[in-house]
Parts: sequence; structure tokens; C-alpha cells
Amino acid sequence: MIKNYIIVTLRNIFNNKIYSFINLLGLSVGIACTILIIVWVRYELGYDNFHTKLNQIYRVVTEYDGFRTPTTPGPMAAYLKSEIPEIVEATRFKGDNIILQYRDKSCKINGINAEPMFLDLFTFPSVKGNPALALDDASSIVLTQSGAEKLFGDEDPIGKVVKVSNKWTATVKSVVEDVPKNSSPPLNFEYLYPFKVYYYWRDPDNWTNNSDYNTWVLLDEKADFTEVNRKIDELIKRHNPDPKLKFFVQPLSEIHLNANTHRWDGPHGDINTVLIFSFLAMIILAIACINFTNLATAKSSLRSKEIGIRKVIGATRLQIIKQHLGESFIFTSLSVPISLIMIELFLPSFNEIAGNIYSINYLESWFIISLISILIITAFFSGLYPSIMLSSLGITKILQENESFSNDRKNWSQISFRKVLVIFQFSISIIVIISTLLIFNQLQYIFEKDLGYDAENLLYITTGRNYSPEVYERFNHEILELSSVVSTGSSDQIPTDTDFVLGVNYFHNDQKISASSPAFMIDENFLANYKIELIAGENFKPENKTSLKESFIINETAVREFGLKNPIGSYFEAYNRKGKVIGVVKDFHFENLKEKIEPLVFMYFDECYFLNIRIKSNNTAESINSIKALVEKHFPGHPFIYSFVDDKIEALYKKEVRMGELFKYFSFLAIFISILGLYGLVAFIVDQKTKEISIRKVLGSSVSSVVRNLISSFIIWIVIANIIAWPITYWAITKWLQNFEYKTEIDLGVFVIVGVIILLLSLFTVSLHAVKAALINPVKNLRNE
Amino acid sequence: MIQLKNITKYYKNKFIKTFVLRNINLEVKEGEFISVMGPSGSGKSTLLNIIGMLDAPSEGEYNFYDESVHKMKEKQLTELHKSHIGFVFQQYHLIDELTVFENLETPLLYQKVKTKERKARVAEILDQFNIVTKKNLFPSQLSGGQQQLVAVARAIITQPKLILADEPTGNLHSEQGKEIMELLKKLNKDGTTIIQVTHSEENAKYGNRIIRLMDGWIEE
Ligand SMILES: Nc1ncnc2c1ncn2[C@@H]1O[C@H](COP(=O)(O)OP(=O)(O)OP(=O)(O)O)[C@@H](O)[C@H]1O
Ligand SMILES: [Mg+2]
Repeated sequence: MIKNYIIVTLRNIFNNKIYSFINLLGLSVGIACTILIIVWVRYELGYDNFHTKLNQIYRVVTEYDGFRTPTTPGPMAAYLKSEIPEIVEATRFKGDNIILQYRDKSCKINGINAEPMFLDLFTFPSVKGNPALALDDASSIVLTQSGAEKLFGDEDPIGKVVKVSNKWTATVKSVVEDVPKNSSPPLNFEYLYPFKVYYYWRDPDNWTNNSDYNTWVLLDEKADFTEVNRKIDELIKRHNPDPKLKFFVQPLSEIHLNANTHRWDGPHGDINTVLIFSFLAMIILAIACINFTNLATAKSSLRSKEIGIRKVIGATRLQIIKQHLGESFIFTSLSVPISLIMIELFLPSFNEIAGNIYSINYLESWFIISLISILIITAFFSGLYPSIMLSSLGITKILQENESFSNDRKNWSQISFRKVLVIFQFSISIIVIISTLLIFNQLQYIFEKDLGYDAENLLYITTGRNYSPEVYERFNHEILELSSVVSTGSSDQIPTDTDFVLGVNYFHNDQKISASSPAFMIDENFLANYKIELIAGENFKPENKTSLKESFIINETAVREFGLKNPIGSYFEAYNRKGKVIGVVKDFHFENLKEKIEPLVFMYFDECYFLNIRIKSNNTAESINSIKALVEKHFPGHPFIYSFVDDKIEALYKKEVRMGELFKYFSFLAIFISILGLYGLVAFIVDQKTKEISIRKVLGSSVSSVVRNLISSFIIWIVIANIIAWPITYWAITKWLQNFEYKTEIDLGVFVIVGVIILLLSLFTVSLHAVKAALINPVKNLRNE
Repeated sequence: MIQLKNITKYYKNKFIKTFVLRNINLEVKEGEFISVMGPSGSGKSTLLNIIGMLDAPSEGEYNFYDESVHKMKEKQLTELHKSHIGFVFQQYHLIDELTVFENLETPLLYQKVKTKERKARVAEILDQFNIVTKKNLFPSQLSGGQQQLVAVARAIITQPKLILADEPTGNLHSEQGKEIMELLKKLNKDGTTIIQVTHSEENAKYGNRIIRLMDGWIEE
């Protein structure tokens, strides 16, 4: 019996080539898109899953006045472990980056300063040596395989002595496996350095001087973390009754998608993006299923004779349903290999857009399971309605061919069901297109928004660390002498990448008030170099060495938020410096444009972490080369690392840009499948009208009314689709824009333009077929009947 | 074998009932060969469809081998008609996508006949109807007479007790028509009950009883 069904299906596929082509193409594209999205979603959901104790690992988050950071004072780990029985193990670490030097090779790598217990919590298998022992010895370092390769190539790294940030030496004692790509930062390290080294200069057991350590705990298997949080809260209240201060633990498994922290964290993923893309996958698959359903129902009159015969010779209704579900199953199965070929073709571009290397092992069980699920779901939903509809056709009606079909009530309900599906499909396409355009509008707006400083032709380099001030001075001097350099200025961080927040004190109405504020350490040239406008007071004056450390420059927001009526000369305290505000700068965006501008404090320093260099716009490559030569001259062994500030800004929105890009492609495909379905449906409807058109022609009357009818019904469908799609889109985009502090107005013109384009596109399809039908030779056409 | 009591069939259209069959009483014994005649639109096909359980009467009783057909569910009806009744239509009604062989095989598939027996029975009937050479052709590659031959073959392959033929020769040349009628006669001789609808008095004579329908009434 199955063979009989398959034969009929395959012969039908060959006999209706356009129909089959449209269905196969639609289903294949739909399945391919869905699989790519599944690959992406799976990667996102799989973050940090490689730790064997995943469900017991938690990190401690500090919350002050609703502001959350994943950092704590240094002694927190040991203290929590000693006080709370559910905490089996606790460790502290701190993410950092160092410059590693071996002979004449050097590189900058990111890593972690960790204690030996680190390896009891997390799963980072060793390749060579014992990493826990290495972390117990302040003179050793652990590298990942690729970290080691950067420096040593094929040589055995074990026992090699390297120079760390031009200051210490360390012996490579152990190599661990590379950290999986979907490991949340800072756990995506390339080296592990003993935490012990902090005892040389940081006093990590002090509760008050630095609160920038990550504290992670391992809970007992049976422990309930909300209970642990309650205990932590109780414990902290005993020492510090400030109701604004809270500590709590957060499961490792939630960090990637639900971190909810404000600073010193990430970059992490976003659960909303994952949801949006999962939803998009379902929509694309739904569109493909709808195509199938639509075309199959439209084509039902062609199949009704066969169904009638089968019923006459003994088929039950259930058997007819099974046959037609089987048919959609065969169609879907044929689409699967085509979709796999498409995936192979799309994957490189997909990787490029998504900014990651996703690979698919077609034999892995998750892949096979998803593929089979997609196959079954798609086949079922595509075939469900047509099979029920076709099986319900009465035998006598089908077999009495003289009976005119179209007046039947059941036929009308099919047509209106089809109409609903087409309208639904168009609504989805319209929603997807308008959303894509509006998302792009917003991103464009952000890129072009006035930053408050001039990021063009501005690059920054890192200099070697721990040199004497004279070296920096000489270096800066020689840079300025380069003909391509306009100006320079040094700082401890770069706008968009600020992570230095200080407690500050000031007077408001004669009351001393404490607040916290991001801070920049800069030299006297920084502001001018960035073209940040000083709107009151003056800049730092290096001639006056004593007053320098007693001077602060703040931004407009700080003046406003701190309520300083006469800011210049007002008392200010921060970073153990006491002094006066000497200047106020115009607000500029030193952080993500998604966020509001915060108060900002500038303080003077004469070291040089980053040298910001403004160059002339011509001949960038040559400028960079001459700067590189100077870096090599003054900081031998220091790797030359530079970035352009505007690239950095773009990188900030990488996630949004990538999402936008992916969205663009997937929405294009969704629209493509919809149009494909429309094409097939129109072709079919027009085909059915061909007889009517031919008769009219023979009778000498005009065909235009038939065509006009056809076109006007399509116009009505599309208008309804727009009416449905617009409010939904408006709502969704408004919601999305709430993520941004600075946002564009929603441009209603986009709605209208998209509506009109969809209308024109479908009218074009309809007219094309209608004209073809009208031009057909009526005699030949009627003879076929 | 067949007992129709006061069978009435009407179609409701808005508020008007259109009667197609009125108060039909009919008894058919096993082994009969009945010809149903009457003008176009008099309800012949409708009557045949009701007897063949493809259509349900609006009113009345229908007993088939003493079983009350009018009380049965769709599933039982399918079961009953697929094992006892074969149909032949004026338009042949073969499945276009299947070859002659596959068309003949399909009713046996629905009766869940085992592969071996199925092949044997198809081979036998192909032989009996002299169409072995046509077995791999599609219906569109056959003449009308050949198609009707296949349709008759398909109707009898399940060895039904009753064959219902709705104008089996309506689309055929007289020569081909005669061939089909001879075939039906032979089947009747071998014990199959046959009810045919026909417009030709000549063909009606192949049967041993003629029923005349007029506006839904029987006038014997
Ligand atoms: N679904 C229906 N709705 C309304 N009337 C119907 C329907 N089906 C059949 N009829 C009517 O029933 C009457 C009998 O139809 P039937 O097909 O039985 O006639 P017939 O005797 O077989 O005619 P012919 O010799 O042309 O085949 C016709 O008048 C037809 O219009
Ligand atoms: Mg008839």
C-alpha cells in the first residue's frame, strides 16, 4: 500500500513540475533556515554547559541601590565558605590581560589570576602538567593549548620561562585544553596565573580597598540557592546594615542569557534575541507549511477524482487521510537533502554574519533528532488540512463530473480558509519587513548620533607597562613629531570601554554626600585630543605639580545630578584625593549609546596606559607603520596593538548589528517563500479561471472583468494583511526600542511604503498570470477540457 | 439480496426540497441482471449510488443480505461495499497516475490481500481479459474500450457478489460496447448479480429485468 502511495506521489510530483518545484523549494529553504537558527540557538543555550558541576556553580553578585556587579571584596570567598554550610567550596579570581614574552616573540593575551581551587569548581582538563599545583606556585603560569601555540609554536611549552608584562618571569608548568568558545567571560581565558601574585601589591585579603574580585562558590548538590541567598543576606546585615547593599549568588547556567548585571561583566548573550530568533524559525517554517497547505488545497480539484475512485474501490476516510499526510511526508523528506545542501552552501556566509564559527556534525544525535522533529512537524502541519479536506469530499459529487464544483458550499469554505492563510502569510511578511527596516533605522541613528567627541581618525595604542615616566614622555614627543600625527593624549581607558567606577564625595546644601561615578584618568592633552569641549573652568595644568592631584574635571550630568550650583571651585573627593572641581566638560557618550549619560569624573595621571593619537586622514597605513616603529623602539618586546575609536564604537553594537544582519537575511528568505507560495497559488487560481476566460473569448466578450475581479480580490487580501500587520509591528518595535536610551521616532512612512511594495509585487504576479491566461488560444484551451 | 423499502432521496436547497427518488420499492435476487432505464435526470445514477452505498437515502429502508444498511456507520459501509460490490462507470474512472497493473492491484491492497496472492490474481485477470501486454501502460495510453475493460476487470477482481454499472458503454463505439455487454453477461452467468443503467434498449436486453424510472418514480 505504501508503495502504491509513493508511486502516486512521485508521479504527481513529476506531472506538476511547477507546483512541485515551488513546494520543494519553499520547504527546503524553510527547513534550512530553521536548522541554521537551531544551530545558533543551541550554541547560545549551550553556554557554560561543559562544566561537569554546572548546576552547583554560582557566582556572587553585589547589588548596591539596584546596581549589580559580579564583583566582591577579596576575602568574601573564604568568609562565605566558613559561614555557610551549603557552600562546599569557594574561590576568587580576577580577569586580566598580560603581555607574554618569550625570546623575540610577544603577544597580548587574556586570562585569569586564579587560586588552585578554581580547578575544583570548573572543568578545564589538563593536557600537560598539573594546573592546580602550578597555581599554587607564584613563579609559574598555565597556558591553554592555543595560548601556548601563539608563543611557542610547535615547541613543548613545559618548563619554558616567559616574561610577564615586562615585569616578572614565570615558568610554564602546565597546559590545559582550549576553553570552549561558548564559555562566559572571564572564563574564556588563554592563561591562568597564580592569584598569589596579588599579595605582592594588592592586599587581596583586605575587605575595603578593592572590590573587584570575582567570587564563585560550589553549592552542595542538595542545596537550595534561594536559601543560601537568605543566609548570605543575614550574614551581611550583621556587618553592614545599609539596606541598599545586597549580595546574592547567581547560577552559572543563567549567566549567559540572564546575567542582569550593570557593569564589569560580559559581554553576554540576551535571552530576548534567542527568543526572537526561535520565533523567527517557527515563522519561516510556518510560511513554508502554509505554502504547501495552500497549494495542496487549491489543487484539490485535480486530486478529487483519484480520491473518489479510491473510496469507491474500498478506501476508508482514514486511509485517504493517511495517504495525503504521507504525501506531505514524502515532499518534506525530499526537501531534507536539498536543505542540507543549502545549509552547506549558506553556512560560510552565515558564520561570517553571525561572527562565529558554527560547524554542524550531521551525525551528532541532536542534529538528527532536530532534523527528524522538523521533518515530522513540517510534514504533519503541511498535510493536515489538505488531507482532512480531501478525505471529506463526497464520492458521488466527485464522480459526477458534470456537477459544477464551484457552487458547492464546502468549496467556498475551502476558498475562505485559503484566503485566511494567504492573508496570514502576507501579514507575517509585512511584519518581518517593516521590523527589519525599523531596526536598521535605529542602528543607523545610533551610529550617526553626535557622540560629543570626534572619533574619526582617532586611534589608540597600548604602551609597554611599568616603564619610567621619562620613557613615556620621550615616546610621546617622538610620536608628535611624526608628520602624520595631529595630536595625542593619554588615558587609562577608552570611551565605550569604561570600567573604572569610584566612590566620590561632594557637598550639597552643606551636607557631605557620597555617590559613585565612572572616572577617567587622563593627562592634560586628552580633552583637546578627543575634541571634548570644556564649557566652564579650565583644563589640568601640569606646571602646577602640587595642585594636579587636587583637581577634578566633571561633566554636565555630574553637575546636574550632584546638584552643584557653582561647580567651579566646589569641594570634591575621590580616589583618596581631596580637592576642587576646576572644570566642566560638555556631555559626551563615553559608554554604550543604549545607556543614558552618567556623571563622569576626570582625574590627572602621568602614566600612560593608552596613548590616543589623532592622525591625518590621508595615508593611514603609513602613519600606523611609523607609530609601530616607535613603539618597537621605546618598548622593545611589547606587541603593537592599536584600534580605531570608531571601530570600537561599532564593535559595541556588534550584537545588534549582527542581529540586524541575520534578521535581514532571514526575513528576506521568509518573504521569498511567501512570494513563492503566492506565485503558485495565483498560477493555480488563474489556471482554473482559464476556462472561464476562454469561454468569454469564444463568446466574444471581454476578459477584462475576470482579470479585474481577480486583481481586486488580491488587493482586498493584501489590504487586510496590512491592517493586521501594522499594529503588531508597531507594538513590537516600540517594545524593542525601549532597550535604547536614545531612539528614533518610528517612521510611519516605512509602513506605507512596505504595504505598497507588497501590493505591487503581488499585483505584478497576478497580472502576469492573468495576462498569460487572457492571451491563451481559447479553442485549444477548450479542446483540452 | 437487495431490498429497498420506500426509498426517497431529496436535496434541500434553501427551503425547497427537490425530490430525486420517491418511494422506491425494489427487490433484487441473487443472480439477476437488471437494466435501469429512464430519461436524463430521472434519478438512475442516484439509485445506483444508493444501492452501492456511495450515497445515503433521505428516507426509507435498505437491507443488503438482511443487514440494515441505512443504520450503518461510514466505516461499516466501506467494509461492506468493498467486499461485496464492484463499480463500473461511464467515464471509466481509472487512477491516471497508476498503470493498468497498479490500478487492478489497488482494490486488493485495500482488502489487505497478501502480495503473492495479489500478484497472482492480477495476473489471472489480465490473462482473462486479454490485456497482459497493456499492464505497464497508463490509462491515457489506452483506447476508451480498453480503459472500460480495465475498469470492469478492476470491479470484478475482488470477486464481488454485485456489480453496479452506470452506463458502462455510454462513451464507447457500438463494437466496443457490445464486447463489454458480452462480458457482463458472462459474469452474470457465472453467478454475479448485475445492475446496469443504460439508455439503449438493445443493451437493456442483455438483462433479464428492466426497471424504468420516471421523475424518481418506478414505473415497471
Ligand atoms: N447534489 C445535488 N444537489 C441537488 N440536486 C442534485 C444533486 N445531485 C443530483 N441532483 C439532481 O438529481 C436528479 C437526478 O440525478 P441523476 O444523476 O440520478 O440522474 P440520471 O438519471 O443519472 O441522469 P443521466 O441520465 O443524465 O445520467 C437530477 O435532476 C440532478 O440535478
Ligand atoms: Mg446518470
